[in-house]
Amino acid sequence: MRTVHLTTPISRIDNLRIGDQVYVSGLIAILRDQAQKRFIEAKTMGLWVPDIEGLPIFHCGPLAYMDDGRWVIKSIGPTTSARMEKDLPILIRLSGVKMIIGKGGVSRNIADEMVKLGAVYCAYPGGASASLLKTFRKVVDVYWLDLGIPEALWIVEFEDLGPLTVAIDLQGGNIYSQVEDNVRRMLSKLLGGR
Amino acid sequence: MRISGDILEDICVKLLTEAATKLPMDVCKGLEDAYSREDNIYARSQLRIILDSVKIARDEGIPICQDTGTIHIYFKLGKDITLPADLTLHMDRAIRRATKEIPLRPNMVHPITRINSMDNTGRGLPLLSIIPEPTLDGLEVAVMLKGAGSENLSKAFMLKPVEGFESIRKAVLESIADALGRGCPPYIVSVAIGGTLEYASMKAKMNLLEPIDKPGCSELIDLEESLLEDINSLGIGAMGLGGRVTAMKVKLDYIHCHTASLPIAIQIQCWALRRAKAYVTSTGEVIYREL
Repeated sequence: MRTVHLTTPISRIDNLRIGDQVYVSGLIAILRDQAQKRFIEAKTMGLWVPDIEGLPIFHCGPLAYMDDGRWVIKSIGPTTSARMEKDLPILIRLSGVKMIIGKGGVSRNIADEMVKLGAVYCAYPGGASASLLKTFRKVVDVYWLDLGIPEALWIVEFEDLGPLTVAIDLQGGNIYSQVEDNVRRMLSKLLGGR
Repeated sequence: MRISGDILEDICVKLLTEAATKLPMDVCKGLEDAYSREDNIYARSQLRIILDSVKIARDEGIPICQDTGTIHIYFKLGKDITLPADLTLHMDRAIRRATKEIPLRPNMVHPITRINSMDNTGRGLPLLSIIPEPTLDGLEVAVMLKGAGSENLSKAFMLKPVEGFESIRKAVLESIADALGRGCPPYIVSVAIGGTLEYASMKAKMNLLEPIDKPGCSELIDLEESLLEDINSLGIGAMGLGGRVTAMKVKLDYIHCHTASLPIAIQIQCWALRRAKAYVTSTGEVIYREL
């Protein structure tokens, strides 16, 4: 497996291939269900939204608290991207984001739309937050805290966030759809054989 | 013996801390075993990250997962044990303290307005189960933190009685095939057959409190083994990137049910099965189970 180091804002992702192990340094936007909804609604109505163009979006809800006027992150890790997938292509189009980091992937038709918009998907294992915390540097900004701490939009800095596995690339490579095809084939064999 | 609410509160805070930061040894063993059997390079890299991360969490006392989950608290009551009438107040206090002290992420929201209570308490909470255990001499307290990723994929069905085990097998395999890697495999799959819709669901979850390497219901061991083999042949693998270990364990249990019903509940549990137990002896001594 090839190892690639990237710095944000990300300039080039067309050279990434499924299976590549990626480490990302720099600013990253964290958002999930509610902040995605608000971003799309606000942007569509012509209202102000945080500028996240060129930053990866990390599907995550951090465990964060305020200590002495400063945000402390105690745990940070990916959440299930499938929950956000329906409006993900719209978010990518409106925000100018080229990389989604999450877990579990997105369904095939959404992956195809992402690729058309020039965005790749990178996976990190869920629940492995303690390792990831080692690469976290600081909270730079937080918006829309009225949505709750896990649901706000966070701009944070990482150093060598990874190893992320490229699971959907721009050349049509998609680990999840390969796996799903096998699963469907095996399932019908297991159920049809009796 | 009556056990005071204050003592139960302290026990609960300690158990929540243990559960959030220390993955039980039986689950660690299951993951190591998965790593040694796996030959898919993507799955191996996911399992390597997971094993390393679990060790860091344990050594440094930080939460294993940023989703500290939904808190379930279980009391197994031995003979002559009395719980305080204001137990829920004490458990709410324990949860507030744990949320602040560990800390845990405030996860619980109003289901419609989605407004966060900010301390993991709320209407109808905490989720408590009190189970009489006449053979127990004392009290067992257990907590479980169930992440939403795998809870969202758990299912219950009312099947047709005449279709028998084949329909159960089909429901389980289809549920896992639909889940793919979205619930953080390698999974622990706990299935309760019979009872009623809600009773089967509770039983399936409660069985996750037992070590995954402990033999379950002896009548169903062969079925557990064959279901595990079938699930693993689906090839979902760790975090859904493919591979031979999709589940570490299948747990099957049954409850007698109405002649017209065949309920089943399928609890899909992520690899981060976070639970902890304490035992209060009949003389009031508190023993924390080594995990």
